[in-house]
Amino acid sequence: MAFKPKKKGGTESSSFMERIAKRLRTLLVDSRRKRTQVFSFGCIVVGLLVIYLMQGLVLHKNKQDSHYPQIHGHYTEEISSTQPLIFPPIEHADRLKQLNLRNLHMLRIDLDGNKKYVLKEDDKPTTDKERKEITDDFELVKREYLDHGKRVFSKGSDSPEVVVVTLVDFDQHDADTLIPVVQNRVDYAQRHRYGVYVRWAQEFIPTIDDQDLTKSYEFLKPLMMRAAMHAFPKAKYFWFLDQHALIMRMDLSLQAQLLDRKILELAVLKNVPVVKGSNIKSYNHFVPDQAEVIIPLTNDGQLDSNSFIVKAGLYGKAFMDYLGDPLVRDYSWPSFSASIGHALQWHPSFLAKAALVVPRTIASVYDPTKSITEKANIDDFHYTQGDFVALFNGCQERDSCASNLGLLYPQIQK
Amino acid sequence: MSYSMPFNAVYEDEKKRQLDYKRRSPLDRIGSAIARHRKIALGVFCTLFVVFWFGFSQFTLFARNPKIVLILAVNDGGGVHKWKGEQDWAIERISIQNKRGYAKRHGYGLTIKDMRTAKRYSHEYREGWQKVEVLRQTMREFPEAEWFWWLDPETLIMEPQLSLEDHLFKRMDALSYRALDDFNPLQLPSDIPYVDYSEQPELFITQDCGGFNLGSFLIKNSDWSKLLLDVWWDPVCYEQKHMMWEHREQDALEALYAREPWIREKTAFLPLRSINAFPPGACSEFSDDTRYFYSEEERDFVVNMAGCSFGRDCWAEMQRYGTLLETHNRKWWRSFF
Repeated sequence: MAFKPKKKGGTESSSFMERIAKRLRTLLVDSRRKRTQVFSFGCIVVGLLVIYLMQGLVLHKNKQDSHYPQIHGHYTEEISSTQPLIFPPIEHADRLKQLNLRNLHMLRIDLDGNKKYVLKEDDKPTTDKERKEITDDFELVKREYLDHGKRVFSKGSDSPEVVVVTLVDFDQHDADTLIPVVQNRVDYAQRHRYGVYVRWAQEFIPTIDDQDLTKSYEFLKPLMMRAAMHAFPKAKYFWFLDQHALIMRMDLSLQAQLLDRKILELAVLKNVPVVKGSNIKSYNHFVPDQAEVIIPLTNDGQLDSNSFIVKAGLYGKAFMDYLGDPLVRDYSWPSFSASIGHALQWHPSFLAKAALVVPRTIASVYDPTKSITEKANIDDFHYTQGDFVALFNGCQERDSCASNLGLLYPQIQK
Repeated sequence: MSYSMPFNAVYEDEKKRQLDYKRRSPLDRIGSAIARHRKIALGVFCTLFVVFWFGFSQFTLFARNPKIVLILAVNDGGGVHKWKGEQDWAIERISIQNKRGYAKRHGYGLTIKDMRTAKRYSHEYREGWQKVEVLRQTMREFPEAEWFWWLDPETLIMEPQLSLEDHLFKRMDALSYRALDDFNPLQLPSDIPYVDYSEQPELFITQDCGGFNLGSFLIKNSDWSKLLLDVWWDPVCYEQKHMMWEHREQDALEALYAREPWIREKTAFLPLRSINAFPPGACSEFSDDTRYFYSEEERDFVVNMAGCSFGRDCWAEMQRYGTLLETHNRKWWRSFF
């Protein structure tokens, strides 16, 4: 050997434990071996890090193990749609009317003889293969009707910010009346990159107790809004627009018309009675940024539930859930807007988030006795040319829904 | 002192000695300092007076805002419907001391709320509003607190050495359950649409043999819980159901939980024995079900003598658990006395 060992003797005589102690000292504390020490401490740190990460992984797995049901709508199985325009084939309206709820849903009769339609929650979506095998036209229409409620906007796609929601009734109107209504929403949404969510009102009948549609139609609105929020989980605003209404100005976006903070600030009615004659007034210090429910207050002091906007936040969802709670919904309200009025008067948390706005913004009412070119009086809010929306409130009583729609549809400004 | 006075050496010495700054007692020195700076002293006094007397509740020298606040409801009924006897007072005292000691030991806040029957609650439609109003008031009182722990008067914290963090919050995920598949005494629907279970729970309650039990529960200080407290009592619901809802706010919450997804998604359940164990007298028809009852061997955290005033002996139960609490927490030096 050419070189001499640094230290002589001693090493052989020292015991095993002493040698280990010496080694450790060299590795960890000896001031002359800085480089070795840095390396050994580095090793320890990396080791700890790995253990920590592994632990995190294991804990994370534990959390995922919890077997809570996935969020779902009324049906447990869902169909994912890449198009933000979700509406049923309106041309089926007449055949659906012939089929009637008796053929579309299961009818359950209990011991007391009460008949009730029930929803088959675990109903499976029809596959393409099955659809090809169905030859009966009515069966195909029925399958399509049952599958429509399962459609949700797919999570991966770019979500629209605003969704226009409409509830259509095939018992009341034929396809010729409803097609322009839905086409109007779709045209508008396509122009502004919004979403559309249209459902048959009859689809909700099995989920409620009072299954007479003419009486319950209004009270389906909160259920419909909740379904829309589920179908578009990332959308921010949901605009409910009744089937008896048309968007007359295609060029106005909802943001520019109402949702923009400054415009909302101008449109909000502060310190006015929530409903006519109420002692409860809307807040004077209302903050438009926090608005989660936007609802027009007509000049007669009524809340107009035919056109309102709900934001998909805590308060918006809770408000819809509250209004759709069977205990609240099935109370003998004179109208759906009365139940909204009750909620706002009794629950200050809701009132603080509810913007009561001037009706001209999203709820001008078409009045056939008045000319649409005539300027409205201050205390009037009927539709005149250039308004954003025309509502046909009361057209069912006048029996003029179809004719009113037919009259105004060609006048829509593209 | 005039010049015409005769010179007196003794007197002069005495005067010097008195004026000698260093020899005077500290109290004297402060007194003379105040006398010399009268205006400043007055100013300081006035400021302190205003500050302590007229609010700034934040301005206390050692105030820390507690993160967890215990709400103890006492004086239930307030002797309006039945006489409040000696034993009732004693029970209340033991209960308050128990919580006070616990809160002090772990640095929690404690607020004691009077639940006497007031006229505004006496109408049948309103009789249950009180708990909700007390909670809302406490949330205003402690805006900085994160969690509130509600406790009924007939409860005893049996293991005061356990902090809520160790006992509950650190293992909440493993301890609590949210699906009602395993334990569902009310037969509520186990799954309703639109419930998003990825939300973190903000209300932890327990279920006993008869359904929800609100004798001991935790609620977070959040927008959600404020909204819940607002919606909990609705005249329209209560008008329809007040004959059926025997347990008032408990039944109302059950109804909300059963039907409104926004409430269900933030509600979780704790096992009854974790914060609300029963004595054998309660839920007596299920006496062989160990899920409900306080176990001495397993050292359950809290015992709740729920419903002891309905045909059971509150005082005997309180004494029994009080003695047990003492034997469990006896210090070693106590054996000498």
